[in-house]
Amino acid sequence: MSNTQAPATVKKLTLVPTRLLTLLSSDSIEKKVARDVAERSILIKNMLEDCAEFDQAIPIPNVTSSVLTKVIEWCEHHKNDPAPAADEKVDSRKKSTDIDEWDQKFMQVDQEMLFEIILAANYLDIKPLLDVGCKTVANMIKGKSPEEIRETFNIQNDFTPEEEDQIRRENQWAEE
Amino acid sequence: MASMTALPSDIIIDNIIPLLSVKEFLNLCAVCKAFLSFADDEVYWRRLTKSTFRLPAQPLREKGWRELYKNLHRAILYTWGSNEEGRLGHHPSNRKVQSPWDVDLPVNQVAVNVVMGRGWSTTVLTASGSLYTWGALSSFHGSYSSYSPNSTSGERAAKLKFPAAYSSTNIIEVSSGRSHVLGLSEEGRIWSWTQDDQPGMFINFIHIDTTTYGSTYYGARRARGTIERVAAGWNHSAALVNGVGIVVWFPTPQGTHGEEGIHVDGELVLGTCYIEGALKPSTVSDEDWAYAKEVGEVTGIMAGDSYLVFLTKPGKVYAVYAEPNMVAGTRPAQLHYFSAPTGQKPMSYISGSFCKFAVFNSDGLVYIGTKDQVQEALVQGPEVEVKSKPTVIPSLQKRGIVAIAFGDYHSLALTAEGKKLRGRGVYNSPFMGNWMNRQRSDSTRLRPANPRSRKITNTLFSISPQRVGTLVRLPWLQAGNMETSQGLRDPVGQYLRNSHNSLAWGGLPTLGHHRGRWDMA
Repeated sequence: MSNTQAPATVKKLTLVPTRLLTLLSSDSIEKKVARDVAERSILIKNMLEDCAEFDQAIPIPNVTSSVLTKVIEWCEHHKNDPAPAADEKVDSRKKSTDIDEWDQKFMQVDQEMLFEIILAANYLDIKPLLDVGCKTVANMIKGKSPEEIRETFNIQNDFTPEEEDQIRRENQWAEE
Repeated sequence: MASMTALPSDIIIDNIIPLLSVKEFLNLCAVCKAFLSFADDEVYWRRLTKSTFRLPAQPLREKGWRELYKNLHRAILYTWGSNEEGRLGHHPSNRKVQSPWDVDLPVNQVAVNVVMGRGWSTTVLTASGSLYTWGALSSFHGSYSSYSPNSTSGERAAKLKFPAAYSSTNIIEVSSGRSHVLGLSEEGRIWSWTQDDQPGMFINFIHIDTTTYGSTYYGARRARGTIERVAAGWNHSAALVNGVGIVVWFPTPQGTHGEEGIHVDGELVLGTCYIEGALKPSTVSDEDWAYAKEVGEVTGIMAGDSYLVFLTKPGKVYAVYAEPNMVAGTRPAQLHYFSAPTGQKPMSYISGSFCKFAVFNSDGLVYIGTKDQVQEALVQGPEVEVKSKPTVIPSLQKRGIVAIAFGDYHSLALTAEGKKLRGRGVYNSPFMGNWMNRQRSDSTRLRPANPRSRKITNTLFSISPQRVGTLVRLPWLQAGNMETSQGLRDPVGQYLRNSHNSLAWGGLPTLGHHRGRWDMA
């Protein structure tokens, strides 16, 4: 009995090999990545579904190799995550900005990289990674005054003092 | 180089802003000009207002959500009048009885909707999804003859309870009948209370399949079997079950409920199962489906006194008897004259209670109907074109009405933007006859003289048959006529109407005493 089952399992495994794909970054660097890892990207997943065979490198024109490396690192770590519930309540009342420990460490990068990752996750359609990135940004905004937010993100204040004053008055109600 | 300001605005709006509190959001908007534009995003404010305050549907409101949120944020609920008959108000001996009174809600509870149980009870839905009720809910000890007026219940709220296993239930919609309150929970269960000191029961229909929202509610539009709306009428309850139809049920004997809720044998209104784009359910016959298609997708229901009126997407208005064993089996009667005339936008909203209802469209066409008209239509039967014409109150037309509330002797209408109201919003009108020695056949307007009332945004009326008035002003309805509210005193658009001459005097003493606070314009 066990003799007949074991080979069947092996056969099944060999029938579905973990195929390697090649991704081509915007600066023309090739990255080998397992198909199931790459398929964390809905963009790539849909592309692969459309074409039966993909022997050539897949160009990712909006993402540089350093960012692509980071994104692949994230996808590797999260390749076995369950698919997110498709019907998540869109207006659930309390949105959490909690980030798990590994992701927190992963996001300890300079701001340029942080925003590059967000842009890449958006382009590649990796919703959970986009969420982690945006949570990181939201946590950097939380509890800060407009001036502190400007400092954090190095944003130029383009209001006149009068305009600033007016905005402060208009937003007074939220302070109560 | 990637930076915060280089992020596409849809990422910021869809993925970052929802994670921020309102204050954090406003701080972000105050950072630079590019971000300031987010503060004007009506979609943000609409979503925030709806999720925070569980607003009753106001489908015709397109603008003014930010202002509405702002007003709700610091909303105060007021009531006028005495607590006789268990109404929300002051004890008659209290000298404050003639003054508007801030209703004492538990800490951190913001009232978002108020429903009146025909003078016997007042129920408030709070932003956190709890219900508080004043007065006597149950008809058994709430009849006028037996109600004991020394009760302080008009001054103290009772929180409506759930069975222990459901204690964390949140209510999103509330409706009040003569002696019961219906609530729709976040999960999509219908809860019913008939006594304010007993836990509510949830309703299971015996022959009708319903489903709770689970996680599919937001995914599928009007998923089949989910409860879209509840409405409590004088003698009955009704629910709009998506893809199944309007279910009507009647009071059931006390004491048959447990943790699993109460089982009721609901009666299904014929021809109300159609949903645009949906396939014919196997349980519906071809003939019924064709008829339901002709009726159209039901968008609104109103439960009255022994009748029920509903509105469909093509703007048709139908009525059925709401008496036991008379609901199912016969086709609803169409109220032909309540459809908008050819060439005008279809009627898109219905509201009402007990003896009156209103249908209106986004162009400002407002028709008022009565129980008598419905009865005439029902007697004639569905085949006869009913001659009853709706009441058309000239001053309600083309005013951008978004909500109408009916009391026994008054009705209120709320305007969305108040283009023509120029900031004076409180309208008062005896429907017929005189009031305060003024002969009026149309609405007039009142202007609050109390600057504090700037914060007040809505009014609902309940004048009991005993002619003692309770007036509740409530913020959510403040239509926020955004374009004119800047610096003006009260952007409320509101009409009072007195529909019963002889009783109106009795019904209005509280307002009469407030002439010092309310200037007749």
